[in-house]
Amino acid sequence: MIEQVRSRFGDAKDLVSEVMDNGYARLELCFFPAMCDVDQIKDAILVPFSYRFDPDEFRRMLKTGLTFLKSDEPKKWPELLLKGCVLLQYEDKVYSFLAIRKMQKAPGDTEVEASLQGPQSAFTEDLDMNMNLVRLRYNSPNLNAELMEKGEISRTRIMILFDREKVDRTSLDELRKRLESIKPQLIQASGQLAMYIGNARFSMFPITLQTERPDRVAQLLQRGKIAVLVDGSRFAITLPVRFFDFMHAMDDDYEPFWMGRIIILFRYLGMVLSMTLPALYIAACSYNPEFFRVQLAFSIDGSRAAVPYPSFVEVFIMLFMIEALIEASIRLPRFVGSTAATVGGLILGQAAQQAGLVSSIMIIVTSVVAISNFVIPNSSFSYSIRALKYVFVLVATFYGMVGIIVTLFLIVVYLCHLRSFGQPYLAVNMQKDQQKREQSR
Amino acid sequence: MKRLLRILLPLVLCLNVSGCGMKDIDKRFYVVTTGVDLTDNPEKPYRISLRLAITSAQVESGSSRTEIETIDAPSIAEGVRHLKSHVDKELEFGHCRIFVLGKSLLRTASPETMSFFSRRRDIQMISVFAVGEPDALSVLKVSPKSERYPGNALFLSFGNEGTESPYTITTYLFDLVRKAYERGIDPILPVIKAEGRTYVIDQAVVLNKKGTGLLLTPKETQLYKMTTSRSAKAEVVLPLDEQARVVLTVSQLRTKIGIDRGTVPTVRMKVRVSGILEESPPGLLERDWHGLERRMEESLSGQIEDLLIKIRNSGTDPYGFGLKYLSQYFGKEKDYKYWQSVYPEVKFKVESDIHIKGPGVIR
Repeated sequence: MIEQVRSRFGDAKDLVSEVMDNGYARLELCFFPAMCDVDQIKDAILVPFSYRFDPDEFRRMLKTGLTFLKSDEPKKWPELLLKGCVLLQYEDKVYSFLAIRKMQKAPGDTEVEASLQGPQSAFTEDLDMNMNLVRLRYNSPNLNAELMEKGEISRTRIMILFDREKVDRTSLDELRKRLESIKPQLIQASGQLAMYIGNARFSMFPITLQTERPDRVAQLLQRGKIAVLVDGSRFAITLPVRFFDFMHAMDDDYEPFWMGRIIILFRYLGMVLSMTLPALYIAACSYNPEFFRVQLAFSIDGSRAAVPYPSFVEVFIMLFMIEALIEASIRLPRFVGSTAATVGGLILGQAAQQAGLVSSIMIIVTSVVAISNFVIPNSSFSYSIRALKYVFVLVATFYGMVGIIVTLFLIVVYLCHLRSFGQPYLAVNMQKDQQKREQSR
Repeated sequence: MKRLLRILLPLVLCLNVSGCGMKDIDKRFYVVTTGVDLTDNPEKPYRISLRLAITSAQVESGSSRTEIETIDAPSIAEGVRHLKSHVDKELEFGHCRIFVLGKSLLRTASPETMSFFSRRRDIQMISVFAVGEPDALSVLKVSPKSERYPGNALFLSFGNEGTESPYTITTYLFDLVRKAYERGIDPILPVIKAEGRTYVIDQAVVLNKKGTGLLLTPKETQLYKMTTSRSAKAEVVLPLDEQARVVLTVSQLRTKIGIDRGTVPTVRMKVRVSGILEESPPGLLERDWHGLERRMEESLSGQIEDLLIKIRNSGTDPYGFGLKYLSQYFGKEKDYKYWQSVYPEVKFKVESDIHIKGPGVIR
């Protein structure tokens, strides 16, 4: 066996292959120490084989042990070794022993979707740990799990989870069909997979929701959605989703009813502001100044007097600055991050206004846009809104207020047209419709 | 490629429909008050004056700065067009909420010449029209000390935004246009008097369709405002002997107007007023509460009737009795002619009902 394996791996130096002899029997052993838990190998194989050796007991252990599997096909050996198995040959039979080295021993902390009073644990980069987290929260025999492997090279394990009784069958079929049709080389993050199965790569809005919160996955499963867990990724993909799911934070369910509603309302307001405010500024400044009250009109007029460029150039300058700032603070190491914020926020904002490059109202507009964009709980959705803002700015530059209203209308039309795995994206009365359908069945 | 073209073409075509051209807010010159006067020159009868706002980023009391541009022109539209060559930025009427017509203008101008204001797209229909005394230009030249924003003092004077004076009548453009063309109702305009560094707006002019009008005194203006709008911020005064006066502040007010048909129609007006006494000689109310109410009712009814008769005799109809008559009796052309013929003899019957709630707050 050893020669066969060695030749397949091209004499890899990190492969350990050993022939052991305790005087009574011979054992051939090969494994990747980097991928295996050496303590487990010692406890399960080396100890029984060496100083507590009993041929009968050892044979029985190999045959009945849960973690020992008989693997006679030489074709599968490299695959098993790469997954972190130990291959051992004893009395001309080959067994594999699963001794994967686990990096994660505990659930992670929520980082992207922080919550005040909800659970603080998040998914980890280990699929088994994630399964544990989901099973813990969704403790029902109806929970179906299907294992799959995707990626020609990465061979990433993928787990499809759904509630057998509640799941929407058409969506599930659609998902399976799409998963079968894709042939990616590497799958390193769930976002990547989401893009492959999303079908519409140029869609303006995400049609799958990625979350790092097990409680959200459990909630969505209970509502008949499907979750896809990807090994090595902290995020689960859930589908099909609606527009409103993206604006929902888990805290809304944990806070008192009215508080939650009011905060959701503010969130929608923030979304609309962050999308349209720069465009409204252009439209009101350059096309319809009578839109403001007279006091505001005069103070904008006064503060814009020193600005040399038309309003849309001013907006582009400020928006570029704020986008650069956001991007920088994400990419920079944490120690330098706060410097970027200070430099950008304090110095650029104040100085740009005093230098007469932008008006003081524009500074307020920019900060409202930036802050209200962070109100959106889902990051991929907030990316969409960030991008849409530029569509509005462009339209407002050419068509003014009329353009903004028409674009807003077009976006609603687009949202109505969008489907997430067969389900309408902007379904307002989804639950009522489903109830009706079930009654008529 | 074809698809791209199909998307781009409508967008390019849309460039034509963007409406008013792109002009930044700081490239526009805001007109805050417009004045129109009559000149002696028959070739250029209109003198158009615009009060333009000079804006600044800092706002302090009394910091408002304005500039006045004046031109004589054969028509208002021509004058405004010509004035554009006097200034460095595009004239913008979007925030011009006060239009002052010179007193001299009222005598000759017909509604048609005034239609400029209602036709222009950037003049808002909620702008206020008033009569300037002695002329519009001198009203424009007043710059009150308390003014923070250019033109703001006049903006605040009208409507209920700033002061709520019982003497100030507010006539909006949409209302003026309606009343200028509707039969059976006549427009009424407030009079702005320029006095030193402030404005005094306590009188009103009732116009008939030809323009000539009737000037109401401040007292009559207040009565008119009381009986037409539900403005509660008014007072009813009963002069007693020995120079003592009883003043009732109105807190609730309701007026009903009905017209009885007959050979000579009778206009019935019911005014219900309730409020508290703000000023009265001591012990008066306790002695004869109802008697006092009755005396005040009689006095108020008399005052209102006098006002109505005065208005009737001048041949104007700001209350819209004619319109009311037509609406009540399916008015056709014939009915209106009849109404016009009997209007000078119309009888008025005013009933007022005053309820004194008390002598005010007890401390």
